[in-house]
Amino acid sequence: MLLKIAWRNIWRNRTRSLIIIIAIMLGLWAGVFLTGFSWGMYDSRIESLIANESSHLQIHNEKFRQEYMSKHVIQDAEQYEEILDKDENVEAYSSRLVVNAMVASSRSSSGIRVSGVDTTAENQTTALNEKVVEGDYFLPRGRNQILVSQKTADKLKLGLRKKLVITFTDTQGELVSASFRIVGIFKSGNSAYDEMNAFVQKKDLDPLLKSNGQPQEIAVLLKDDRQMEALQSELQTVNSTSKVENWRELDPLMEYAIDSFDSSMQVIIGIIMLALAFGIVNTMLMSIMDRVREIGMLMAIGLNKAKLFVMIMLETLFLSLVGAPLGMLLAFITILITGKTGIVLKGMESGLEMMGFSSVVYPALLPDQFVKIGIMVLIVTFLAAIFPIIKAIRLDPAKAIRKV
Amino acid sequence: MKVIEIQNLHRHFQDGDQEIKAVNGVDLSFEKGEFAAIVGPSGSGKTTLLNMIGGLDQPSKGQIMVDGENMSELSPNQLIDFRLRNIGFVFQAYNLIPVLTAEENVEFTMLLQKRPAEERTARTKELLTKIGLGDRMKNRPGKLSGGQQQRVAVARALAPKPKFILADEPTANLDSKSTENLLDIMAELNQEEGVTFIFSTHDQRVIDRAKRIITLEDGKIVSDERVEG
Repeated sequence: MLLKIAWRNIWRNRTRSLIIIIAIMLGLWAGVFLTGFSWGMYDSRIESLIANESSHLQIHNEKFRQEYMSKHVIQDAEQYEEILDKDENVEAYSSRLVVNAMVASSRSSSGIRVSGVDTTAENQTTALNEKVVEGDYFLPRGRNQILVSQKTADKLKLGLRKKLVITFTDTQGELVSASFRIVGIFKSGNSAYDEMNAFVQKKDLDPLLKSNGQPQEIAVLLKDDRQMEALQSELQTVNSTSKVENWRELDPLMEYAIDSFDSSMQVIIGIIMLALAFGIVNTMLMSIMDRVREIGMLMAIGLNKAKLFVMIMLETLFLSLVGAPLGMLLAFITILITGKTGIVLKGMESGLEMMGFSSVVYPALLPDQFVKIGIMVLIVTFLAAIFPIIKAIRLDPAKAIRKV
Repeated sequence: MKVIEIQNLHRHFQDGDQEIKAVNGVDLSFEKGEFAAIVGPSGSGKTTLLNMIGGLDQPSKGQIMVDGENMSELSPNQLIDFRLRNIGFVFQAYNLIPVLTAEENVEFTMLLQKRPAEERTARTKELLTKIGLGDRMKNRPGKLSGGQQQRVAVARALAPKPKFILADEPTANLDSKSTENLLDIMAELNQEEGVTFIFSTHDQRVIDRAKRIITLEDGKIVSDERVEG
């Protein structure tokens, strides 16, 4: 009967109940959708970071990432490659010769990181060929071919088939210059990455660098990132002069961004919950104040405090239990639809691209966030009901019945 | 058989420096099946007395025994339970739970007492038929007239078979016809069920029907008459 009374009570003032139910619904929809939207943005950034740039793991000589000098090659690279060849969870890996160089055209020059890659391995690891927007992903014939980004080509004011000169220090500490011909122009979607990178073939760079095929970098792409840490530890034991880092460690900014994503989401959800709590307290207090005489009568005829508590708690829960699932369902549908169609952030493309973010966001569902938010709504509702309940329980039935 | 026995009952309030003696030394008892009215001018202490008999207020001094149980010794929580078991209430207005039907309203106190479903249904039907609302059982209070609502309130008060019913100005908001009708029903049920009815009232029509008239003035009983017939 209490259940029945509570349910019918919330529909006594239809407008008031509907307003709070809609507020709960919209609040939750906004909260969940925003989480999904932001997560979609980060998730696609992480995916593209792993798929296009850093891969899951990278191996370097421990001094390489401090000094960026090509003489710091990976010791025992063959041993790493042997492990990686055997590991079934490794999708692909690319051993690269890496050198910081200056590229110059007759019009301009620029500092750049030149990677000497094995074309097939690089393709499998970072799908570099898919990013070529003009020209070819290396030609079968011809020496000293280079792929530069659109951004670099523009900067150097060079186009396809033009020559440029790259100058760098080889592993022996000698300054070396060589001319390369642009065979392809790529665009990865991350303009900062594009600006910094150019690719040549390993066989062309090796003699210039005098590294005897010893790579400066091995990038590893995994099939399942849950195995990442295990493989990282295993690889770390091969040679103490090398350092194996995962994508988080390679891009600390990204890790920071993810951490701050978590905390900013918590703040946003917190604000939504607070607004929700105030809304519920307000609605329930109004509802109690409207019913002082009735509550007095109920207490007089024998409704004890525990039952009164249950009745008002049920009323409050009903408000949330109607609004919250509707809001979550709405968010679920919105995320599902926009997750497929994507949301285009017009006018922000270049800014986002500079940070490596795509301007088309595909909101993604976070099931644990769903559960978390659901539980939080229940807790908040429970807490918000307490104050109105105390107000009701403290009523003196004799006075309440006669209240005008 | 005495249902209620009141001894030397006092209720004093503090209003600033002044002490108001709302009920000031009342000795009173009610037998089973009485149909009594407590009358008196405003401020005479009727409501305060009724509140104490109903366990809604605690006396400053004195005691109220209901069937040998001393109400003054009960805690507020015990009093709620005591009211549920022993007392039926009919108020001036706002008697019914607006979201429940007539039937559900009558059933409500029996439900709080955890009476079995068959008993509840039978008793509800019986009472609603007696008060002439057998065909309005599924109606919510909003669909009933003031008089009909008060009749449902009487049925609700009677449903769990309390030891007595307190009716505080039950006819104050009713027209003559509804008042007569309600009083007829209450008198009939008083006879049939043998339950004690105690009214507080200003209404001459209620006073005319009462079989005992207790007059209160300044918190004291000034007359206690039994009407024959």
